[in-house]
Amino acid sequence: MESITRGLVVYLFLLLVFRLAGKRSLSETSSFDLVLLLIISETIQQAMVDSDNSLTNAGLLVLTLVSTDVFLSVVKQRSPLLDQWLEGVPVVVLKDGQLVKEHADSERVDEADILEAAREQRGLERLDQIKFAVLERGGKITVVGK
Amino acid sequence: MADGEKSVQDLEKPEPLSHQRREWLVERIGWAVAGLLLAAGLLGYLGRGPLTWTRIASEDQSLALEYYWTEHYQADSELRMFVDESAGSEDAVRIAVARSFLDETTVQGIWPPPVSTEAEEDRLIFTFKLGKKPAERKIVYHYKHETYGPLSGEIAVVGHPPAAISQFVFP
Repeated sequence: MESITRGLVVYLFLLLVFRLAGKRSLSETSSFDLVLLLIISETIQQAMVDSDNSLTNAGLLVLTLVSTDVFLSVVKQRSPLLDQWLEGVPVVVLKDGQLVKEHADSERVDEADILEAAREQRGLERLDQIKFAVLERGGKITVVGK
Repeated sequence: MADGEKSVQDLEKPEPLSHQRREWLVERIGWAVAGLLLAAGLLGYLGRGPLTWTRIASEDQSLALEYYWTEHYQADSELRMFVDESAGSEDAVRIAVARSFLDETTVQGIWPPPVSTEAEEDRLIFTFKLGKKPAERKIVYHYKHETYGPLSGEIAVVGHPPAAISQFVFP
């Protein structure tokens, strides 16, 4: 029982922490983000496993984490409200070449981020060539050209 | 288009979709199995849980044992012993633990610590100084399992019938 409750608590805690950190956190992994992810996984692993290194415990933990993920995906599919809270909603950060300042500031997105996405996805050079830039739920910026 | 070359129209053919339907079915069955395993885990049938905490006592009630009958290999385990007021002499209680149990486990700690330990051929005898109140006659034995599968052994207050411990250790 302890393995399952530990796995569940860790899953929900990480879900909460990463939702509070915002969409942009760890959405595109830099070298430092990678190191940060490794430190987080190492720290969490010790708390989850405790002193029980048995195969059964490892199996139960993996089963708990994957099952919780599947369960939440089913619940999110059936409840749009819960889906919004758990996954967030896409946010328009640039409209007709103009930065939507309130949204961009809240999501810590600047013009350089949008231009980077525009160059990468559409080969665009200037903000006035963009109709919409949207910060998607997963933290990626997508661009619609004019 | 050359023979054997795939086109977008191939996606609409029924064969791949029927395979996908079978895959979805297997996936849903897998979810149900995972649910059952988690329920068993929560109840304690795959390790410690509320339904596997057990209490047994020797025939004359001189010694009672509390423990989980399902445990994990190499995980910290705990055995609580309750010695009846009538058992043992005035100043010492001698507890004998069968070698069959000790050979399959490693002792991590005993509280209160025994004042002496004697080895006999098929058992180890720990001598404790315990008080007279029920709360002072409790011994907590911390250990780890060194093997997996079924495990059994006998523990007794010397001169009294034993209490038999029986566990299943998951790998």
